[in-house]
Amino acid sequence: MDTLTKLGILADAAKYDAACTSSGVDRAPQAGKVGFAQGGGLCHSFTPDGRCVTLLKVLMSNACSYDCAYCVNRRQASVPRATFTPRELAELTVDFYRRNYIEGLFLSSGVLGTPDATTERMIECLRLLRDEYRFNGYVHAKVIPGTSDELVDAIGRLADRLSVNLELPSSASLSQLCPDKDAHGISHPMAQIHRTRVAEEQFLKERRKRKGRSKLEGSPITNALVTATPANPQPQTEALGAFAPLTQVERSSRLTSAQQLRQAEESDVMSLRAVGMQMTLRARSTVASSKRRFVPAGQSTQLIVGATPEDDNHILQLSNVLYQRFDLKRVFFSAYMPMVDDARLPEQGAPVPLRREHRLYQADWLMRYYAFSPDELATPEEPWLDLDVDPKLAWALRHIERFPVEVMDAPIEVLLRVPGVGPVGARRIITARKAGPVTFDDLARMRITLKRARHFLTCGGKRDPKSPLDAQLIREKVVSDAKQSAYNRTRRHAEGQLSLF
Amino acid sequence: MQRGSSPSSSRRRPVSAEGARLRCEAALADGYSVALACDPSLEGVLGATGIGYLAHADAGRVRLVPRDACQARFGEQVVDTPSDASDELVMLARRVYKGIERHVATGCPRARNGACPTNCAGACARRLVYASASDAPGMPEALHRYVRKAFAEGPRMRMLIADELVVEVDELARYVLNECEHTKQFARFSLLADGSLFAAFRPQADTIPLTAGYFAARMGGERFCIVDPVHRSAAFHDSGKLGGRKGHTVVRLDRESADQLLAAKDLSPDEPYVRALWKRFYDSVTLPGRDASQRGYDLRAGWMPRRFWGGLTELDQRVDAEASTIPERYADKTLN
Repeated sequence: MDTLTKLGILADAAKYDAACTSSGVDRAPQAGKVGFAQGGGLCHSFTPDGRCVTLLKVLMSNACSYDCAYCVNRRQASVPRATFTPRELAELTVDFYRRNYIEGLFLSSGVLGTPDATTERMIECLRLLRDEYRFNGYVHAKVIPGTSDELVDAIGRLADRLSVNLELPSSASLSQLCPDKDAHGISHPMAQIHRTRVAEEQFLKERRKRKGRSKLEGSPITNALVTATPANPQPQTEALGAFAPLTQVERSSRLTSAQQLRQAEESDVMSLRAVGMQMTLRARSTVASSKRRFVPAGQSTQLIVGATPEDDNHILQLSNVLYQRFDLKRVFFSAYMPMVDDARLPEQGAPVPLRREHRLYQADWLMRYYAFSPDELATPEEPWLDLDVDPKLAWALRHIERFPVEVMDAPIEVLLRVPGVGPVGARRIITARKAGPVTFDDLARMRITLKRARHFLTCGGKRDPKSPLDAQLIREKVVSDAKQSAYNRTRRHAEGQLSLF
Repeated sequence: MQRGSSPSSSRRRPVSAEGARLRCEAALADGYSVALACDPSLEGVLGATGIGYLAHADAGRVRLVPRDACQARFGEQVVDTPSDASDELVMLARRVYKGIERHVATGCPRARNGACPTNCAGACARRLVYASASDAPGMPEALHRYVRKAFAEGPRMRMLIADELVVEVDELARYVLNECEHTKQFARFSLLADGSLFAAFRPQADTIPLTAGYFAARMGGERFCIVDPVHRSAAFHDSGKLGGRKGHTVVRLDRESADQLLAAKDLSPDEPYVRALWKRFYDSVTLPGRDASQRGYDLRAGWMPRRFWGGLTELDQRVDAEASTIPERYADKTLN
């Protein structure tokens, strides 16, 4: 089988993985090496369905010994099987990179025998790529649950980002649909990755302090990491539910949200580029990704939505815990596409819950960039996100008594709650009002989305003339506008789902 | 960038900056307004702005126009400025640029020792660099008025983000920055028989000078050339041989050189197969049930404007048919 045929099979087999970002790490070019990495990432193409192509996203092999019910590559599936040789895949990555097709490699795999055997093969490919082909670009690698700690550590030193797929939103669903996986097998490598990153961060901070006093000897990073990994890590019996709070060390190593807010208000709005991480209100590390050697771009995960009965509140709570406990960079949601006949799953032909996936991403964004809590977005009493109205607008409509907000004196955390005002817009308003009164025309020039924002703001005590004064009329107008969008009309037709408003 | 420079700068009678200043002063003294004809480049615009400033011209009585699209209005005299290849204009442009950095940064809460801080990269002045690469005919005048305002407002400038002049330059700069991003995203290199890489890209702004450093950093030791035939600019990179430590150089091309560079290339024998691999990958990663008909709008065209599609290997239907030979390294390796 030539590489063209294999690539067709193994790219097709990998396409259900939602993550395809090359973000989260800055790495300068190095003499004798090919490539570099930029924190913002770069999309080199877009698929017909509009998803970004930034990495060569393939499986090492789709010959899988596991039998997950929803997976097209499961053991019992009747599909053509293929496996890359490590060198073949390394060659392919460099060939694509040189032509500016990709930013790097996204390497996942079916379980080729055992998790360790599969990971060893992936490591061999990455070693070739890094050492022999001198590739300095981005690498995202999947960790297969059940992989030994040593191999997770080894692959973490070759990849920029690791991800362990959560697969499904609860342990019960996981055990029902993935007989070969368990929650502990997933949370264990997540915890290991987090622990090692925290240890490296501590080490780098100490080194920063010591710098200038003495030269380092040997390879202390390795020593620090080895000592940071407990010989007998605490077993997590109810893995997905047993996330402990952050330790004091972890907390103290990060900026507090008060500091974040101060920094946010002082951020330079004249800059033409908005750096996402600098806009987030989440606590973040003070150690630059470029200094790290172990998983410098952090870890992410993915879970399927719509295949099992968990509601949105449950999913957002879970995401929030993952962000807090394991400092995940992203939680990706993948709308379930019925491809398999199985009584435990939605039947083939059922609509793909695209809007639900979309609203979950919006809600996730609100948690990371706007400091919303999960219960504010999908409450325990109303645990499903509205499909017609975006979660921020839905929150504002539920709390319309808190509006309108005055642009001249509202603090950043209040401005961030206004529909149509984003992290950049809020900072622009704060800067502009220092120079004088801000009008609705000024807001339009500052690219605030007035279609939504005008109903929730006053400028110098005055409402926008185009906005109704009555709260009920505002509600009716914004909901009607949202429902009439081409996206909502198309999806409502396909999905036939009801709105809460 | 090698100066030499805007295509419009050739075949003109040389003009000195001092001569332009004197003619500007004379026209103003005679009660005329002045249209300063300049090259639509950063050096051309800032140099012309400096000439107007040195002529003590009130901002309302001077406007900058691209030399190739210069038409006097009623009561206005056209004054030609030196080419942006002229050393004295470049020196003057540099004075103006440094002046903005210094003037705006003085009192800026982020300034260090009175200078524009590196952590915002001199954003107030930096946007001029991007905006000047715009193809918009109003670019020279927009930058001229921005510079005048920056000198008038000083450090307050960074707060005037809703001001119309600032917004206008901001829009130009953002558009160019977007085109730079598109250049980085959608330029496609081909491996030539001599081992070098070549790309042609047609952005709607002069992005090659702004992105050459990015490609040089990305490509490491590779030898490459990227050409923009619309703006007739090209970047060449040959690590250790060109442009000193940077390894790259950017040049302006005349029509003949541009045509020569774009002429059919002798591709590496592997190239058709690698292109086919990329197209196969692209064709394989599409998910069903999520296309434009399922969304109500075309998300792909939003992210990847159609004007670039003609240059994208993955959308070129000829690619599959051209991959007749399998390179040895991609031939059957027994694992299947």
